[in-house]
Amino acid sequence: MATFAEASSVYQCASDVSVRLLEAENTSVLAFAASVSDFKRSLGDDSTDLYWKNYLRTLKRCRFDMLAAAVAPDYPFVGQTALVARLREQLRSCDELYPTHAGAAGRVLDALQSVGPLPESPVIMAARDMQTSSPGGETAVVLANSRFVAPSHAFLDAVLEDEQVPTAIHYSELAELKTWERLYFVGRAWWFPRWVFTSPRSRDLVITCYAGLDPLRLRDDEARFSRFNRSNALVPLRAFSRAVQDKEPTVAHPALDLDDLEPVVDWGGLSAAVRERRFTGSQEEEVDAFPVALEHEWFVFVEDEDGASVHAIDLTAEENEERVRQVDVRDLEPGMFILLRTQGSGDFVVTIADRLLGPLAPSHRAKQAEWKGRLRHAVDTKGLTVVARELEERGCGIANPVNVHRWTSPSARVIKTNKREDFEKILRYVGLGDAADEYWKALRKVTSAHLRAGRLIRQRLLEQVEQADLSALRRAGRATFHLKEADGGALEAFRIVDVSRHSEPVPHTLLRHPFKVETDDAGRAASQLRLDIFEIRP
Amino acid sequence: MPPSHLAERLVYRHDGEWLPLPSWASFLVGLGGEIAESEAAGPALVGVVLPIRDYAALLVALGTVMSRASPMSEEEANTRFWEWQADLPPGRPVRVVLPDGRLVDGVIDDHTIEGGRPGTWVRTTKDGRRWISAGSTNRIQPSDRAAPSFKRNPQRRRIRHAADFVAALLPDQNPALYASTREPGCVICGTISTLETELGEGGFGAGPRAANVAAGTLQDILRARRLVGHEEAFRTELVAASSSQPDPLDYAVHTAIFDGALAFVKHRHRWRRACHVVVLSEADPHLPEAVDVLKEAASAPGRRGLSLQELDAIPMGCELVSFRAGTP
Repeated sequence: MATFAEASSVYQCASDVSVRLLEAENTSVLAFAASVSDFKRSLGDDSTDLYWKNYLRTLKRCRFDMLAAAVAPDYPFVGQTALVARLREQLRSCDELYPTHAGAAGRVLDALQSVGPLPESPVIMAARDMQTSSPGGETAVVLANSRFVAPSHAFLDAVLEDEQVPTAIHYSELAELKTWERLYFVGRAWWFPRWVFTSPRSRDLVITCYAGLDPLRLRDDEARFSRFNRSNALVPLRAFSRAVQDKEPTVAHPALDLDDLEPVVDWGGLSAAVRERRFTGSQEEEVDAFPVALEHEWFVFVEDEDGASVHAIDLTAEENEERVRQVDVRDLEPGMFILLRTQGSGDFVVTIADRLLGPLAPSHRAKQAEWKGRLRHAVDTKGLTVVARELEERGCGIANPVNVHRWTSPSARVIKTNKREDFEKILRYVGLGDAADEYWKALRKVTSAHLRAGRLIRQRLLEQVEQADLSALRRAGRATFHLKEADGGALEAFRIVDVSRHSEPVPHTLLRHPFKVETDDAGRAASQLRLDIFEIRP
Repeated sequence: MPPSHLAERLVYRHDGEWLPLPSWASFLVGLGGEIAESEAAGPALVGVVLPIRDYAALLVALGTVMSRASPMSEEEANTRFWEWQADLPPGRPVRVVLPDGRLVDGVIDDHTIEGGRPGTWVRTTKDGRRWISAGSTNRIQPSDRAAPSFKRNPQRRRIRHAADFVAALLPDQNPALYASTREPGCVICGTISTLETELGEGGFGAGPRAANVAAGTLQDILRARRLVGHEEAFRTELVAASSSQPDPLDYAVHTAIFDGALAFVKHRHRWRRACHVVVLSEADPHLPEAVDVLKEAASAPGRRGLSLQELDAIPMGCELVSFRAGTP
């Protein structure tokens, strides 16, 4: 918790804040950025073809890295040289497949290739600014994406050598009450949430950006209650207005689409890939699930079921006890850290519960699979509605299509019903009535093991989170936690970037397994890409 | 004391020095004071968006509680206290606060007039029947314990009342009286552990001059029920924002302060007759939700403008909306 003096220093920043703009003139970077927009427009409807979609995605990612990371435009992190070679290779088949786009596609690569080791970049501007007006205290370079932190830090270290090197941080670190002497935000203000400017952690905010990108535009520059109060004193917004007024007018490149600079999650593409896999894949069982976009371009599917929950770390929670908790999957929000296993079974609660069950696990799990399998067979044969109605007629009051569907779920977390009388009616229905008592006792132990596993995981995670460097976790956007109970496997905490609320059937084996969309594979044939898209990469 | 002057005597320690309260904190204390003073005109709703929320809810509560306490003379306090004391039924377990701060268990025996003065007979564990006249410095507090066994030794302890700090901050108050007078009405709904930590933060002081500062905590003034002794008088109630069904309170709430967007969104329908102050921060992920609710309320038919002196002193970097709800 902050002391009163620390809290006061934040108010001081908000009260005295000034905003400056440093613009880097670099025509070759701007030309490349505009050429991508231009090319997308020239593709027209073809831009939704998988061939071009991946090509464009790769280019846009490269463009964003170039514009928003605190590195020189030709720094290896941006991957310019290798990318040009790879995309040129892909274009070899373009003359036959899409002859009308071949020329334009080649021109984008020419523009990318012509981005050379020029001195003008936002980070160089910041370095010069520090030399001419040393802030004399702690300074940070604030980045819009946590992927940029490590390479930006390395670049700054190399460029500034013996001079004062600012710390490279992700903007989420500004949620802490630490105040800085000066903060350099790399890229457009639009790429950062509004609160980093309206609740600033420094009096001296510098936006450093390539010229022509409308750098001072905020996501929301309205006072929240301006309609209702004759006066307000939202100084940071005024500071932005002043900076805009002071700014030398720069003409944006006419071809550049400013609204398209920031990468967005391609939920549609993900959905199409899932559908493709369903049609071409094996006879895997499916469950309704929705995708969650994670930091560093990872994704995960979580089941869209009543009562389904995941372990999450919420660094915005004010009480330590609240920081690690089981969150209903439908309550997942950007900014939370979701815990996933990157090896073995995606559901680590099941793994740990099995360890707690010891030698009983195989037989008890077999019983669990048996009653659910028989019920699933009945559903496959008669249909969901008929099974639900027949169960209800036999006295199982909670039987309805939704519940029956859930009971047949392949998820090992669906164990039994809450009440014994309902469970007995179902077992009688599937021909296991004589063994109802034996099944009930076994599955109660499984339920108990799941609850103990959940408590155990939470306890261990709480211990680790308490000892963890939360700044580092915020900075990196992901962290590894080692739980010896988790069968030797580590748990990975990923920051959630976005959540799609659109649910669709996905193969059960995809659930809770983080996967990465292979942007590197833009040069491959579309069919290969579809197979690789779900490659699980621990 | 005018609300804008409530925080004048409050100082905080920074780098070994006592400093006057910064303007943002004085604003919040003054805002709480103005809200308390204008309660009679109907329930007000004030939303304030701040760079951060730390200490803000407590400072608003401080203004509210100080404003209520400041105009009350000892005589008025005694009158109010007697009205409450006279309603206690015979047999009700109580504790008697002796002038030196010790507590003695007892039960109400009777309310009578002796020698022309109203008062209460209390059977105590220490010295049999004790006459507590209206206006006496011996005070009665309700006790949730079972009626005491009169054969036991009396239990004694002192009430913490940080006399110097209270006296310096509220010069019109008798510190012992302040600590033993139950005057609830201010509720803070938020994260309990955070509020409790802030209440106990020791870096505050009060005094007319920097050289003569009495140190204390916000709890010394706010006297949050959870943190005072089980049977001691309190002035503020903390309600957990995470609770789905907070226990109903046995008194009228005059001011409810919501610490954070979730607290407001979740509990805004409680304490409907009270003034509501919503403390929000820019970085709160649920801020837009709370702002929408506030804007909707501000646009509701029948709402009236709320003129607050403190509006002119909104600290830099903050936003505020204030209005009075329409007649219910």
